Amino acid sequence: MRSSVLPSLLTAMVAAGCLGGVDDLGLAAPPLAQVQGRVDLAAVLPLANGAPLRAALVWGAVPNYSLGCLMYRANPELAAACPDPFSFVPGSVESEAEISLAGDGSFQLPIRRLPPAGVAVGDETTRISWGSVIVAADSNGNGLFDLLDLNTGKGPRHQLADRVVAASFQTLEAPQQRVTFREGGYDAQSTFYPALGCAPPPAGFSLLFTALPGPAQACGSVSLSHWIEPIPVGETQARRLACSSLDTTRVREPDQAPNLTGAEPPKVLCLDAQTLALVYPGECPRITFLPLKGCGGWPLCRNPEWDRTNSLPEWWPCGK
Amino acid sequence: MALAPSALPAQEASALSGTPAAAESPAPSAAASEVVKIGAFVWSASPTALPTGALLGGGVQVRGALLQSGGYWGARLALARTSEASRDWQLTHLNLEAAASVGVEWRRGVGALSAQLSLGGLLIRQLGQRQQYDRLLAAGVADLRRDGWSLGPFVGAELGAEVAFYSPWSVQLRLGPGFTMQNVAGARLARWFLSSGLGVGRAF
Repeated sequence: MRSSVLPSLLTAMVAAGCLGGVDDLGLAAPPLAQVQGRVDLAAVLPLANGAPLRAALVWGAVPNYSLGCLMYRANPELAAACPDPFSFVPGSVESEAEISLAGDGSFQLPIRRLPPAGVAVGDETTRISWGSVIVAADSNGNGLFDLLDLNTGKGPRHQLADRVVAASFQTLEAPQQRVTFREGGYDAQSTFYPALGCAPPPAGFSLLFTALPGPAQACGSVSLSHWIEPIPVGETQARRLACSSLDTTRVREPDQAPNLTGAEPPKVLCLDAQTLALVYPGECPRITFLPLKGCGGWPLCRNPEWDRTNSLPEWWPCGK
Repeated sequence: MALAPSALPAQEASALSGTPAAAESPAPSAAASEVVKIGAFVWSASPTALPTGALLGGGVQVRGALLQSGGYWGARLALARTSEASRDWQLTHLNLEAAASVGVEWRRGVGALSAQLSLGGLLIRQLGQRQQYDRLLAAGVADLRRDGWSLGPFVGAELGAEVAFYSPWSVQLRLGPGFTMQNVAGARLARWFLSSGLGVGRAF
């Protein structure tokens, strides 16, 4: 009797690895959450010019808005290049899906990763990420939603590849449907896409909606099982929603003459006798401010890092 | 009480019998006098379920003489661990190997070479969790763990080299291929692997 136990056990083990099994590195992971969206095809197809439509969940970046744009907003050429301080700035594309033009405009976007650190704002215990569901025409047909990123060199240099046709979160000044990921506490005083008057969103993924900026009853949070319906966007806003440029404005000391040669030289704007701006052309314009007296945080300089007011650079064109 | 010569040290026995000990019977070799050897070792092997990485651990073994010609039997228990990550998962595999073996040993001086065959079982315990596990858990995301077990047969062949550096203590190095069948990713996986060990043993 005892002698038959070992062979039987060995036979069983040989017949099959048992106990349910283990995994290798090919183990698939279910989505962390899923976004369900629907877009009005009749409204957006004319904007797409026949290109296939793609939907994407895009996490919002920290807007980089220079106070120089506010100080010199009366300059029309500068104002045209300055970003809208209330606009959603795309940071990173999390998930994409093609929208069937033969269907009802619905789509699903699985979320497989947490928002990257660059778009999660807060401290060690309190972080928030805001996302917009953006529908774009895949104009270059590469099967991706291409953001124009001037910082990394990804995407075409100065020309948007894809045209945004709808977004669920376009600007703080319009109704919004934000995909939210909250970790830890919630800072209602944060200026990172503030949801004024809204109750704190729940921890984890959720959907925050606002009918209009304003009273608390106009906004709230629901689970991601609710449908998100991006709304069509105009030409100007479409351009902003595709410009992933965290560094669109810079400040530097006017120690060297700007390079005005090259294929697309910047436009030189004398904002006043002591302030020069270089506006680099393109659909996602960049601005470099060169104040004679200033610092990296110009114009808020307690202790200026440079002062060239008494020793004007030879090439300085303003105030002459 | 009379004292039998065989119970005395060789020099005293020869003195009692009046003949030189070396001339009457040569001193037994170390191998012949060893009945049981117990040792511990560090163990490294290529992974049996994961495609990359290396198992690292340790174990204990015992072996005893079968024949005067150098044959021996053995048994060992070893535990090793490896951990690898994919984009979504962190998988840790603990391998517990239990095996019985037979082998043969050739001794020369303080050194010895051996060859052995082993047969036993290999138990794999998987501890798997999603990347960013703590953040996801705090955020209320579910389905974050993939733990599992797999048990399969193990067959191995090994060559070993041993030096008695301070008798009865010896150091041993061994290397050889192994074969197992495990339930991996929902399918039966036959896998060859390479195993090595470095250990210290004591003969009794």
